[in-house]
Amino acid sequence: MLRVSGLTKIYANRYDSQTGGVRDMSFDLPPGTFFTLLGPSGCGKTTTLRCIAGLERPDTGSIAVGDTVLFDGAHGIAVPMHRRGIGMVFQSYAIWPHMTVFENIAFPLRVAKDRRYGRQEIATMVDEALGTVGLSGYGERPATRLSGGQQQRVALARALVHRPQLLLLDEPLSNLDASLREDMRAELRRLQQQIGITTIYVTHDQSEALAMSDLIAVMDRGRVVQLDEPQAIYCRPATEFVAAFIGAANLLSGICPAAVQPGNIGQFQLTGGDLIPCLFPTGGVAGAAITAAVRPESIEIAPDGAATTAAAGGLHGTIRAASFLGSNIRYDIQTGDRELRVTVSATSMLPPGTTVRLIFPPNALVSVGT
Amino acid sequence: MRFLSAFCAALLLSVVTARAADIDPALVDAAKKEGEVTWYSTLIVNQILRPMVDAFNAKYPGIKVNYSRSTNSDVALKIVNEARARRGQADVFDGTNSIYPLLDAGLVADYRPKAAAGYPADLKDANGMWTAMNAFFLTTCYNTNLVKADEAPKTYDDLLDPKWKGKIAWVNDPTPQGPPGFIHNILVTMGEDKGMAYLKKFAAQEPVFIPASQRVVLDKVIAGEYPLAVMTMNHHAAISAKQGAPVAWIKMQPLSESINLIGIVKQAPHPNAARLLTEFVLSDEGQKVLADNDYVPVSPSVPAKIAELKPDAGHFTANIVTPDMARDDLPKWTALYHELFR
Amino acid sequence: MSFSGAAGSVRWSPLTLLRSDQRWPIALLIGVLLALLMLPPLWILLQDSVTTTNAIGNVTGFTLAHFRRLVTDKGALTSVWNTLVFAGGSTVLSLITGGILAWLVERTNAPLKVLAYLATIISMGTPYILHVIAWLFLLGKVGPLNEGWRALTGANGNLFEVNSMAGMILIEGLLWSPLVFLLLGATFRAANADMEEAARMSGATVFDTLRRVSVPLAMPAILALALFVFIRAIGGFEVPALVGMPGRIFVLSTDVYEATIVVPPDLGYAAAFSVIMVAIVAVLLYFYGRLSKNAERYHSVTGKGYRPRPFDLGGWRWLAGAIIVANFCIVLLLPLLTLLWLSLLPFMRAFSVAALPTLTLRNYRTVLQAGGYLDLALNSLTVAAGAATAIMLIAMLAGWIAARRGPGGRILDQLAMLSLVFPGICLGVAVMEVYLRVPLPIYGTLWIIAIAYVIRYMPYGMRYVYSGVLQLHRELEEAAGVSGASALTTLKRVVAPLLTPALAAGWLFIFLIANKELAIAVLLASPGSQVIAVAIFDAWTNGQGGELAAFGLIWTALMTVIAFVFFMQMRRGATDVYGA
Repeated sequence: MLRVSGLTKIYANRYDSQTGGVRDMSFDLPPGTFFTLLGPSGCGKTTTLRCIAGLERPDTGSIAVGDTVLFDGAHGIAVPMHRRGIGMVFQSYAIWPHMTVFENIAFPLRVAKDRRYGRQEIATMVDEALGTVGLSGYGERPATRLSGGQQQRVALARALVHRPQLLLLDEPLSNLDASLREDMRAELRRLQQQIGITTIYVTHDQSEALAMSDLIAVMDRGRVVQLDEPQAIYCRPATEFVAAFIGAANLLSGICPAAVQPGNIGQFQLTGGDLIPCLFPTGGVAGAAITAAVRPESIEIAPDGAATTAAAGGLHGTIRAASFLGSNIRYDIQTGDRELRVTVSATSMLPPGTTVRLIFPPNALVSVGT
Repeated sequence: MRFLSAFCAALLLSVVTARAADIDPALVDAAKKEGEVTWYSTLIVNQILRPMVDAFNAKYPGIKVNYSRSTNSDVALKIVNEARARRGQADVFDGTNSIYPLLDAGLVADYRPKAAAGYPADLKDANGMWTAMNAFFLTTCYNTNLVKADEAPKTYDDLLDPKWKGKIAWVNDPTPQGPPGFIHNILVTMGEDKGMAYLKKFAAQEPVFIPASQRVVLDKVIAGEYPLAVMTMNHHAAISAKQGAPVAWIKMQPLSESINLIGIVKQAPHPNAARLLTEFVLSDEGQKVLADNDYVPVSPSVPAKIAELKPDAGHFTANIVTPDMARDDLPKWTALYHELFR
Repeated sequence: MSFSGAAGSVRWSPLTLLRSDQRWPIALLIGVLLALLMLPPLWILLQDSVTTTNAIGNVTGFTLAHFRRLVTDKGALTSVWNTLVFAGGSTVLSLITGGILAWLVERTNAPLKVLAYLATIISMGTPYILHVIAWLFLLGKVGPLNEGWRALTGANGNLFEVNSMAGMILIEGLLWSPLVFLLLGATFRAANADMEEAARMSGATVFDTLRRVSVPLAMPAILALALFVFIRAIGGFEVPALVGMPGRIFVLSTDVYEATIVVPPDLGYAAAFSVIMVAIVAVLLYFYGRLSKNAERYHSVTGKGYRPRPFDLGGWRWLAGAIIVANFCIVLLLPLLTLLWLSLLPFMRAFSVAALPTLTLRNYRTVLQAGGYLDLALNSLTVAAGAATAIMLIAMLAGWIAARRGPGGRILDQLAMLSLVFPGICLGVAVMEVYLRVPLPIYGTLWIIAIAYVIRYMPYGMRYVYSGVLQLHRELEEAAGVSGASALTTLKRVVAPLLTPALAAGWLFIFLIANKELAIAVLLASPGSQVIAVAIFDAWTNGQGGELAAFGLIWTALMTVIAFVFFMQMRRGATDVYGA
């Protein structure tokens, strides 16, 4: 549906030495995909979105929706933004304060060049869009008399009203308060699935990305570092950056004692000498120094000295701090010269100073690239 | 006395009506055919320009007078620029010195108005380029609240008294009606050597420039900001004094006389109407309009409203600055002004 | 949008450019229009400064004599120095007075705010020359200040010599204070109140907050405005002429004036002086451009509801109120009362009980009975309204493209700001020469005055639009573009309506100051195209101070009514756009 290849847009920032933009970005989305660009600020996710929308002109590369080429640097094709037929929701919502809700939403229909919409048709389509976002009956309100959440819905209705093939969402939830954000997150996803519209979503919030997406591209410094399904991103981070950015992963360094085929589970030898089972998504070379990531909730703990199967391996540790987080408990556990973060479901809390045994299930540890 | 002046006025009126008949009917017809005339003036609209135009229109209703008022330099600048672009609009112009650049550029038509036949020779050009339409007599005036009549300076030398240092105002007008005219008057009256010596002493008195007109300078004297001013116009002082202002003018002889000239633009779009207007302004009827509006007419047969404002009735002498003098020597006077006083 | 990084990597052709940004045709059109307006007068000015002409004004040769005279003239360097001191001093004074007032009115709960607006609106409608006359009278040798001092102390001299650099700076500073109030007020209004509140929460006093947060935040805007005022003060004429010249203090603009009043006008010398002014101003404009660009980072209005909360001054409220009242008295009440006094006098004299019996309405009768004023007033209003409308239309397009870094934005900005370099009188001469050469029937009609106004006041319109656009969140436009609106549609349906308050304010401002314009109107007025400024000029040069004051007061009243009606409409419009 949406095919982006070799997209590059670099700008030299005059105010600090960093250069922003995106480099050699490529992806191909099947129709109906909810695709998220995830990364810290300045990673190029918004630039990518703006290039697709036509708000920025890429330096090189190409962008196509279906059979329509929107941009092709090599052939000098650049469809102006107002002819791309894309719906977009901006971070600030960009609701025009001088129009009513109805006029805001009707705008894309009124300015459409490819066909003329009649009065009645516009009224029907706007009402439908209002209904879709749950704002039926708000049409005649001035846009200035809306809450943040309502403005967001109006922005969404405006983006959808002319039934675009592609919907772009630029951090649409970042200006909402937490509870509203949770609701909107679910509703956005529901809407997207209901309409079946291909959607690109830009966010720096990994939980949003994981909860909503079909596909996630994690970006760092202008490049995509991993493009995968949410589960894969979470469980098998390709790099330390991804591992660190998606949830607070523990990173362990060590070596790969014996060669492992890609996708197989092998052994990971900690610098201290302990062996832990580890998944090698890209395989392992004997003797290579590697880094492995383990999620806090993947580690199990057992009271020290309790009977454990030797195969499960494990490390001795001492609890340094324990914090009660409601649904679970977080421990900071000292083992050797490193400290690991472990979360377990909240049953009974072990006090600091308790010595425990850390148990790593076979899939818990994943080797990551650097 | 009142009766007498009324009688004189009546007498004058009969003379005027008699004179008016002298105007060539053919000229009137040709002017009426042109239908309008444009006058670039330096005269104050409300005070004299509009009354003059109204009087003209009362007599010749078919001829519309367009007028605009600006400074001497602007009048010259506009006519020169229009001529260069061949987009001439002006027919008639006036001004004390707007004419020099126009003469240099060959933009003045020669015409000897019949109405000025009786004027003295120094009030009209031998070549018919200009005729004086009104006169300004420039002299010293003082605030009667601040200066007693017997303490007021009587002669130019009196102005050098140290007590006037920094207290004499004059206008910042680089024309014969301003400091250059003063310089000319002194040099002509005293001769080059004595004149220069006088001017240097006068410069040491540090006269204060007022960047406006002679009238504004006079107002500052009336307001008491300065006790004395030189190169102010005697009729201004007389008018204000009549209204009760604490001001008087001094017959500091010789006064400096500056004349306002009227001329016709060469290639004027309405040459006949221009001539008719010129004739009217210079006729006793036109001169009377000047006198009625407190200006000083030049026609020998028309007295000023306050008769003693003119040299004959007022028994004073005045050095006239003719356009020829000004044209030749104004740069010199101006240079001296800059050298001595700036 | 941004081509900045693309230069090396994208094959460039005019067609791809055109396709990539639809604002190109608009930019091109406006650019050509601005160039046609702005460049010919500048060319004439440069030409005049290096050529000799014959009596009829045709160019006869190249010369550097005008500049040589400038360098050798003993007064020229002094004039440059005086100009800088004068402009600098009055800028600082106006910034302090106008800035304090703007902050008090826009950001605090000071009482009597309406007085500040009233003073500003009315004084904006009053011709400068009236202000200057009033101040000269108040501070003059026989004015109430010096008279009072003499009466109190029995001294003989003056407490304050108004015809001095200090007097010039004081009066010019007060003239610009309302403008500073207006423009800085907009900045303070747009500033983020959270930042001040955060400072207050951190324990800062009001003064600390002002010094450490409010002022530094507004600094780019303040500096940009300072340069703007500085540049205008360099070209200012009324104060240097009326206040400075009698004290023998000459600045560049009075030098230009002196060169143009000799007969024949020494246009070459005047032009050479103007070129010096152009050079100074051009350097300043360069910095101005950089400053106003930085000012962008500090404020923006998003699409969200926006209500800055005023600062609670506590016990200082009444001091703030006193400052507002003092400003009202100084900027408005005193000058107007002075003018009223002058207008009732048969001739100029000081305030005194003795003068009371002589008070008369004669001046008002004279003004109202004198024919022609109505025609002049109509002409004036038409020309000023027409020019203001044309300027705001052009400036809306140019300012929008420039503020959004659109194609050719910088060039448009510079072209529009170009006429700042002209002193009024030089611009008048240059425009006259230009339109005499153009084979269009413009010369001698009201059109030429309107065109000159458009040229002269374009920078003001540009500034209003520019800062107006900067305050609009750019996503409001991008949303329209993505929704399928072309650049023109976006302009028409989103940008223009949202800019309405800025456009209206700019229009009113230009309308008011165009009606005050003296030099241009006097020079370009022809029979049949006279404006009110000519009548003012007449009355001034003729020393009809009383008549001028009477007429000025009537005119000011008319302008105030217009401004007031407009202001009310504008407020209502702003409420419609931005919510109550």
